Amino acid sequence: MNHDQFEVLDIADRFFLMCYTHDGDVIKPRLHQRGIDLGLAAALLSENIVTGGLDIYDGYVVPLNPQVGTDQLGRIIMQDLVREEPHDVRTWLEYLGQTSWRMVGNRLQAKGALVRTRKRGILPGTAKTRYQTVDPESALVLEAIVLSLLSGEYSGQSTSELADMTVAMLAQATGLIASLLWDDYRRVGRAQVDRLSHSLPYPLHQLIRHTEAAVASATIHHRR
Amino acid sequence: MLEYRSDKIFRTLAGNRLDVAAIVFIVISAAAPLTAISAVATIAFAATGEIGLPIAYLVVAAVLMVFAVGYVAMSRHVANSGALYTYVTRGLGRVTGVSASFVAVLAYSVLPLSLYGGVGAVFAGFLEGRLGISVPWWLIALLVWVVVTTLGVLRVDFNSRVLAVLLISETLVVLLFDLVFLGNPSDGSISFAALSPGELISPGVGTLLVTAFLGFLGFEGSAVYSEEARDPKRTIALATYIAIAGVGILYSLSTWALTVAVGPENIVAAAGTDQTDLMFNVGANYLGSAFIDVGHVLFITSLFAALISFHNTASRYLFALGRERVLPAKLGQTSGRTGAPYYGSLAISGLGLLAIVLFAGAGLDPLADMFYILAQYGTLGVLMLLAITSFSVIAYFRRNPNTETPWRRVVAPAIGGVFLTVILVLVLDQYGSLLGLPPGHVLNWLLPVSFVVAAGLGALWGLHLRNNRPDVYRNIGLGAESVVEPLVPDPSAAEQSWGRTGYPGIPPVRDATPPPASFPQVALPRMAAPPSPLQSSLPPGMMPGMPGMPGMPPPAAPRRPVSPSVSRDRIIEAQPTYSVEPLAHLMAAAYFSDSLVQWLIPDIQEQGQVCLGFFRTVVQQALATGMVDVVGDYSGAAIWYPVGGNQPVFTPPRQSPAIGQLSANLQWRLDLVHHATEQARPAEAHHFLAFAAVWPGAQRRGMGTTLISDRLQKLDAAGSPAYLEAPNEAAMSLYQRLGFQPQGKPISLPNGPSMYPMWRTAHKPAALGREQQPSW
Repeated sequence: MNHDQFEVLDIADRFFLMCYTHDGDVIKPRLHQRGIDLGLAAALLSENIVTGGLDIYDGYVVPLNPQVGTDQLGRIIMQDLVREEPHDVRTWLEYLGQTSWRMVGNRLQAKGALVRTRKRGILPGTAKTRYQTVDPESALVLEAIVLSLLSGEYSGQSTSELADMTVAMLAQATGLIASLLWDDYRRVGRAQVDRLSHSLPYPLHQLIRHTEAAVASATIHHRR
Repeated sequence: MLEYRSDKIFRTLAGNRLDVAAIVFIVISAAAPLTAISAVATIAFAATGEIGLPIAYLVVAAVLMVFAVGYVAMSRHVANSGALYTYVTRGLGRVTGVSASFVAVLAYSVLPLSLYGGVGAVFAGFLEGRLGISVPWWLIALLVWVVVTTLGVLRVDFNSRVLAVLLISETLVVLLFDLVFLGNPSDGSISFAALSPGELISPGVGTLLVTAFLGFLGFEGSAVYSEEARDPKRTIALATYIAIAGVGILYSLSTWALTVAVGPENIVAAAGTDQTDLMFNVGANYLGSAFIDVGHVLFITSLFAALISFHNTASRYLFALGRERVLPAKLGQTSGRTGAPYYGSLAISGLGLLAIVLFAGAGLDPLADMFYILAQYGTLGVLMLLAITSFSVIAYFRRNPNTETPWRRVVAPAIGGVFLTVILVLVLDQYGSLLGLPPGHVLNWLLPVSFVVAAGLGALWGLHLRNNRPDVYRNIGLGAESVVEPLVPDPSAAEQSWGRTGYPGIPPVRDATPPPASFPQVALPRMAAPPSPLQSSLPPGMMPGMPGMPGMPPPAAPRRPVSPSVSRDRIIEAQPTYSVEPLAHLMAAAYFSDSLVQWLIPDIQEQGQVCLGFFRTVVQQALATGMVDVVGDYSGAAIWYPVGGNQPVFTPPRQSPAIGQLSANLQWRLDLVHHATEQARPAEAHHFLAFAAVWPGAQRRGMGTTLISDRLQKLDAAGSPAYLEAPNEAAMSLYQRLGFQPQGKPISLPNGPSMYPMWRTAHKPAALGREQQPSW
């Protein structure tokens, strides 16, 4: 997978890759798992918002067009949204968050960006699925794009920048931004996030806010 | 055709839900039976000189059971349940809520501090007694502090299974001790003296009750899990009752058994000598030393588990308040890698270190001073919170009746509230003897007063937020659930991205649903009103009912410079294609504190979202059928409707699906407004001023006056009269300056504000005041 191909990755793919460091053989998380799950769930919803399939209205997810979907995964989610009773954003985030990591990981695997490995646990039955970046250097390009966005260097408004903006806002909502920005840039980055927040389409803006609340709520209700 | 809708989502999520047993374990683990019986109870026997603790546990359990009825019932209706200040906010208002939150922060921050003394002293005593190693208590406390701080930042909780095993072991040990004690009474026969209700008719009853209450701390956490419970209606209630009853019976039995084994007449003296070792020393006469050691180790782990639990409760309190910006926003941040409430946890740890250093430096006793006094101090705060929570439950259900039975919404909370208040009064009366300090000691009055000071500061802060930070004020009580969304309309960004043109590369985002073809006739014409106490002191030139008057929320940290004044050429009439969102946000921000809106949406938690949703519908309809005058940068807007004659009658959005989805209560109240106002409406053709709003940051600059007089000039030119309903008498006098005259009787809403109909015949331009003269 080369640099150009990374340009066409969907929002959830980009967020997935951003959540991990890519400087070793095995990618390591920068964000706690609950944050990754909820962030990916929000990213999957945002993909369908960007394509015009979904709207967020007063905290509820409103399917507009079941035919719309960026890919098979997007269409599966749209079908769920259309078939089920109306639920609020938080319920959908919680529901999709249960499987979002695996769904997006598999999609990245299908796109050739990741390979899946299994790590044996100490006890039988504790093996864990892990993903490994095929081309760690290319994955860092995404990080560079989002960092340049957060440092205020973006200009104009294009579809691909909308994806980058959404990823940047999700990084802020889930707390990932703290691991991305070095101290010197945090203040600039946060100010930029505030600006971006008001430039996002309104449903995405709402989705980001609900994701932020869901991640915060997970902190309060933390249990093991 | 779509398949029949399934309930797959809830079924899938239910697999991860908590059942009754899980919640009971989580809640009781904070109560730590061995800590309560072996440490708190024995020190209390010594400090108070009373033996009635066993009966006090039963009495407090009964009071808390009754309290829990209303508490649990309300937890089903509120987000962020489990934080007591949330209940106060939604029952008694946001200012009182902030006041309660300050008391809560103080009380819950002190509780983990007390346990550093407890765990340090008990561990040091154990090491010296069993291994002969003498270690100062503060050194152990510091080591424990390092562990707690690390675990807090790394977000390592005790695994719930580990907690369950520890809890069951503790309970079994305690029950075994009880069996042995009851089998070996000191004078040969079992004495029921400590269980006699007569023990409570003593001067020290308050101290007994509050000490007993300390043992139950943590039970209020059950409601935190209401959203995660398998069956929110049943699970939380059952778990709470089981936890309270279980703790009450176990503690009562155990402390009574201890008095039986030592003898009711000897227990006070023995507790003074042996302190936390009393139970183990007495037990050592009958049980093997290995068993006593196991008991001791469990005692230490129980102290540690309670410490972790209280540390987490306190740091989550700070986190929740930081999230909603009542406390510094930094406290609401989490660590990215672990998701821990990083700064909240560090803040509590910082206090812990300070407490250890202060108590060790002053040479105070870790048990009698640090553990016991600090724990009693924190407990007093929680007791105050519970008492006010009871009354908040009643107030909340008074505004939201028909959702629970009278027993749950009025009777039980009233009984619970009265008893908790009685306990509180008794405690305050005997606070000196409770702490075991000499009469006249400064702490005897300083500690209770500190909570009053905290409450006062909280109320002042709440008022400050109301007046200066409406965006923060709106979210108070929501904690982690708060969707922190500044109500700042930024038309430039809005129009670029979510406005008419849509976003480049994606289809235009629709402005929610179009208004239905027909609405029933309900009118809600009204200017935004200021809070009543300030209504009579409007400065000259201030627009009545305009946000921007004293008491209305000033700017919510505007993100763009607001034009210093408005000239008429910046006022434009909005086209039907205009975006709804910036206007709806403007109206919601301006009307948020309006007394009519407060009456329409009494539920505090709903106010933010419902208010915005309501104004979305209002603006949609106004753009379609009314006239919307907008200041160019969306800093002000007025909604007019041509009424009567050939015009369709003004028909606000009572049956819009959006309103129905928002709140059935709102629909019902809009009906009441309609019935109250329809008779007063003039039949003659006129223009009706339904809403006028100025963004909080642009108030006090005459924008409202300009906005309205601009339209009045056009109406004068067209010869059309105008009508409005003023929110109060002060507003009336100011409308009179624009040429309006009172007409007919005031309109009263049931249990709500009054409105004053005013009529203005078409004037010649000269009839306007000098300041309203056209500038050309």
